Amino acid sequence: MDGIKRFFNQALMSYRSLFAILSLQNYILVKTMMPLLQLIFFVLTAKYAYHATDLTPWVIGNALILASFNAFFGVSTTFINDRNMGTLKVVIASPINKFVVFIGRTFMHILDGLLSVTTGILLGILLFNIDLSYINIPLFILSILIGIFSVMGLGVLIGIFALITREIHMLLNICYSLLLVFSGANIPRENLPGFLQGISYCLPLTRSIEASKMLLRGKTNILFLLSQEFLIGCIYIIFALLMYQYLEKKARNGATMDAY
Amino acid sequence: MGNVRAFFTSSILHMKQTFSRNMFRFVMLVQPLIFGTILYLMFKNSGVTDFVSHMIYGTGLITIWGTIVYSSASDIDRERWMGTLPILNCSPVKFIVIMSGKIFGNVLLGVVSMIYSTAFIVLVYGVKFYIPHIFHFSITLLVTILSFMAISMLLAGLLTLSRQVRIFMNALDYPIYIICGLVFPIDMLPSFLRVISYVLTPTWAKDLLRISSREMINMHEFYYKLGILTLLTILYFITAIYFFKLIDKKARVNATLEVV
Repeated sequence: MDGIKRFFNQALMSYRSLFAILSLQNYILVKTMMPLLQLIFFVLTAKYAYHATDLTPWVIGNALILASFNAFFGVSTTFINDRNMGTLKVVIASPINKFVVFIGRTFMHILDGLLSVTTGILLGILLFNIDLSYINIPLFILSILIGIFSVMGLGVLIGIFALITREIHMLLNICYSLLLVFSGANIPRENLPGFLQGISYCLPLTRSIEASKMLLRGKTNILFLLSQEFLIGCIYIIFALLMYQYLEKKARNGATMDAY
Repeated sequence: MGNVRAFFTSSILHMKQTFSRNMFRFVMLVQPLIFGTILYLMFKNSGVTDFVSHMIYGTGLITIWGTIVYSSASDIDRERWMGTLPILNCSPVKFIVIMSGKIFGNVLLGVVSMIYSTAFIVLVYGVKFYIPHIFHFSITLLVTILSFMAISMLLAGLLTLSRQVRIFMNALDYPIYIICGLVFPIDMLPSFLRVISYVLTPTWAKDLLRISSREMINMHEFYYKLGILTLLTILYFITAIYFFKLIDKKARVNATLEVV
C-alpha cells in the first residue's frame, strides 16, 4: 500500500515541480496556447493545401500529436531537471527500483496528455465546426489512450538519455518533428514516398491516428490496429528498460549525473 | 569607425556562440528540412497556384523567425545570466551597437538557413524555382533583412522589460506563422486578426518575396507594399531604440543588470 502511495506522490510531485514557478493563469496559458496554436496552424495549412471543407481528420490527428508534446517535453524535462537540481544521483544511489520511479513520473503526463488531446478536439469543435456526433466514442477514447501510452514509451526512451547527456533537446525536437511528418496527422501515409512509409510504421501514434480516422469513416474494426499501437508502446518501454540499464552503468562510470 | 568594428566583432562572436547551441542548430539545420518536407508533401498535389513560392518563402521565413525567437528575443537576458550584461553596459561602445551586431549576426544566420532550405527543397524534391526579377527580389530581401533586425530588436527590448512576456517566448513561433500568413494567405483568417497581420512586417515581406518571384510584376503593387514594409521597419526601429533607452535607464535605477 505504501508503495502505491509513494508511486502517486512521486508522480504528482515531479509534475508539480515542472510548473511550480508559474501562476495558475500562466500555467493554463502555457499548457494550452502553444500546442493549440500549432494545431490551428496545421489545420489551416491543410485547409488551404487540400481545399478541405471537413477538417475533422486533421483536427483529430493534430490533437493526438499534442499528447506527444507532453510525452517528449514533459517526461524528458523531468529527467533533465533531476540532473540539473542534483537529485538524479540521489535517485540512482537509492535502493529502490529506479526504472519504476522513472515510469511513475510519466503517469501525470499521461493524464496531462489526455487533457491536451481533449482540449485540442474541443477547440476543433469550436473553431472548425468538426462534427463527432457519429463517432464511436468508447473506441475513440480507447484509441486516444493507447496512442498516449505508446508515445509515452518513446518519451521515456528519449528521457533516460538525460543520464549521459545534458543536450537532449535536439533529439526531442527531432523526434517531435518526425511525428509531425510521418504519423499521418498532416500528410496521409499513402502520400509519403515508399522508403519513408517504413519510418511511419515504427513511430507511435501512427496507428492511433489511422484508427481514429477509420472511426470517422464509420468503421469500427480498429482493434487490430490498436493492439499494434499498444505493442509499439510496450516495445519502446522494454527498449527503454534495456537502455536504462546500459545508460545507468555508463553514467556511473563516466560520472555524468551532475549538472556539469 | 569604432562602432562599426564593434558591430561586426559582436556579430561574428555571436554567430559562433549561437551556433554552438543545440537548439539553435536544430532551428537552423533540421527545422527547415522538416517544414520543407511537410509543406512539399502537403502542397505537391494541391493544385494551389504558385505553391512553390508558398513553400519556399514559407519555409525560409519560418526559419528566420525561428532564429529570432530562439536567440535574438532572449539575447539581453542571456547576457544577464552569463554575467556579461553589466560589462556590456559599462563599455565605451554603446549597448545598442553591440546588441544590433548580435541581432545582425542572427538574421544573417537566418538568411543562410533560408538559402539552405531553398536548396534542400529544390535539390531533394526537384522543385523548379527561379527568380525572374533579381533587382526587385534583391531590394525586397534587403528590406526584409532590415525588417527582421528591427523586429528582433523590438522583441529583445520587450522581453527584457517584461518577465511575464518572457514566459511566452517559446510560444511566439506559431502565432506569427498564422497571423502573418507565412504558409497560407491571410484571407483565411478572421478580419479582426488580419488587422494585426497588417502591422507585422513578415506579412509584407512574404507578400513582396512572392510578388518578386512572379513572371509579371505589378509595379504599383510592388512599390506600394515595399513602402509599407519600409515604413513599418522604420517604426519598429524607432520603438526598439526607445525600448533600449528605457532598458538602460530602468536597469541602472532598479539594479537589474545582474541575475540577483
